[in-house]
Amino acid sequence: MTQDERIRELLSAYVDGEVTADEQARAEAYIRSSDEWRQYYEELLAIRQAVRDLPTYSPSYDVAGSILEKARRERGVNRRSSVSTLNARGLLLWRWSWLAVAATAILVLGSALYLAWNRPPRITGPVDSFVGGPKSVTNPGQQTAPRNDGPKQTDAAPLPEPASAVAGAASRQPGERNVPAPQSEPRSDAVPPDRIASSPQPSHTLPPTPRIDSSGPGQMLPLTAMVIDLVLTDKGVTERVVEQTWNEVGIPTSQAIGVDPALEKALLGQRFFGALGPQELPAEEVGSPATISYFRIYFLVATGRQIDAFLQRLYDLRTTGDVSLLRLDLALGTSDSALFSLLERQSESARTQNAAGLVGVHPLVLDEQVRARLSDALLRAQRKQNGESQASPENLPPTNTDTPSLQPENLAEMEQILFKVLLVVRSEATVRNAR
Amino acid sequence: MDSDFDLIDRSVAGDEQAFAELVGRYQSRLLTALVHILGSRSDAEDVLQEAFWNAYRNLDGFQRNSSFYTWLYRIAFNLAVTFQRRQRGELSVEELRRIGAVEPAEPDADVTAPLERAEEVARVRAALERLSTEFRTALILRDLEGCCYETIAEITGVPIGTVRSRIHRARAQLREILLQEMKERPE
Repeated sequence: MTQDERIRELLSAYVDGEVTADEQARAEAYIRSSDEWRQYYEELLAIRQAVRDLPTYSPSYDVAGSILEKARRERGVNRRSSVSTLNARGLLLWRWSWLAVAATAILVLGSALYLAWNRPPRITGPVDSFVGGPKSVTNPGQQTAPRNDGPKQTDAAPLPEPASAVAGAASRQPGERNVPAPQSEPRSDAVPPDRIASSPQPSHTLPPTPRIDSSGPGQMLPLTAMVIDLVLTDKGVTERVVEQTWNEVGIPTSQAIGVDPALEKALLGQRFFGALGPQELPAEEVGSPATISYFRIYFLVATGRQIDAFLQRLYDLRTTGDVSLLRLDLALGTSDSALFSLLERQSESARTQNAAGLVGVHPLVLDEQVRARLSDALLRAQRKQNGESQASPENLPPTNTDTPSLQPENLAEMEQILFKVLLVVRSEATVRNAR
Repeated sequence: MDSDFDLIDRSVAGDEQAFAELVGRYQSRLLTALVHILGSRSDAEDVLQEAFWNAYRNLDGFQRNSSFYTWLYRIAFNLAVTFQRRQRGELSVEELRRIGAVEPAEPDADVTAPLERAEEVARVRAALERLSTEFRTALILRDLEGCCYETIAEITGVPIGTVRSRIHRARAQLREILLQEMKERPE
């Protein structure tokens, strides 16, 4: 910084009264002794006044009323919702209605957990072999560091935490477990030969994708996971909104695992998303049909708060034309997925730990009864896995009597607990071509 | 008049009127700042609602290490930054510079104001749009909101020295833009 620049900065601070006594004396000396600095000072005053004279605004709607109405609807929706799909074509669905969706999914899937958990997994290969890329796009591997330039948070603000906070909480914990790592670096973007041969070529050149590194360790809750089914528009694909979004909320890519998209039909197409077809997508606009064929699966590990923020942003992306459809589901001990294999491995490596410490429920499960049912189901499954009890409904502990509370009690706890999200990202063209 | 903390206590206890009063105290100030930071009234209203919604949902977690005002602004500022990042690919500052125009914050604003005043406001607003978000935010918080450097530092999450530097550089750039614009203006 030049001397003149220092004087200008001093005069700017002097205008604001943000100077020490010594600086004040120096600033006034400059103004008195030099026409040039006096003129600059007067210009600063004029600029300040010009900004102060900018017009003021009042909201064009009842802000408080809309917030309170939202809150009432949220409470009501959580009590009665039976919807399991968020469709971008719908009317103005409240952006937080996904809470109710997930709660409903928990009711259905949580009750089936016991049976699902007892079935032997059909896929027994190591999870770290399930690394792949989009079925029709070849991208060079490229490391993308998580964005960590957000403002420092000093209070319990409902905002994304810096990625380092997650990494710090996730690393170097006693009894830590590692997410299985890929065997070679470029594999997250590798396209299986059979996929290359059978897949249509993309009509667009996509930007490179971050290399997914699964080396991030952390405190795991192996029995809690969520599936996000996300359908992007062509715009959303080309702008890489998903990767940008998880960077924005501070989910480090070091805690994500690329999963082989070849699992699509076997795992997701049949089990989770069989009901999702082109008819659920927005109608194609005449003259601009979706053309990009795109399919990826990611396994993210993030704190509850990050997941909340991630979902909120994804939901917001519907309004910007990046997302066609967002659907939530839960994956609880499914026997036929790479997810299950991963969870099983983590459970195995964590067997020495207290079972209660390994089980948790995402706080989006707001309904007390749902939460209790899921907590019990998770604990029973954990005990069964540890051979601590016979896993039959008759001799399982009664709800909320002799079982510890597994629900994270507050946000501080949520910052320490990592949840798993299976993120399935497809394009509209992929969904339409799948049928 | 109840303090902000009293209203927060009552809001957390379920008193909707208390929360409405809290919103009423700050909605116009916050909206004004957001309009000038984001350059669009509709975008600013979206962020405003999201900020109050986030605040409402997290009132019980508010530790009161700062004023409610500062906490609320921090929420809004972060949302605005996120919004700006999302929008950046669509219309960059360079693009604005190239086309020589900015989106009016409110198309029908100041229709009753004298023409010269309206033109002056438009010039300042256009010049502000050409600043980076960081510079513009610092300047708006200082000159329009009257925040001290310490509060701005808390809201934006940067050291006070950085705030001082940003405000200085924002004014210097604003001065250059306005001087240049005056030179190019037809007599």
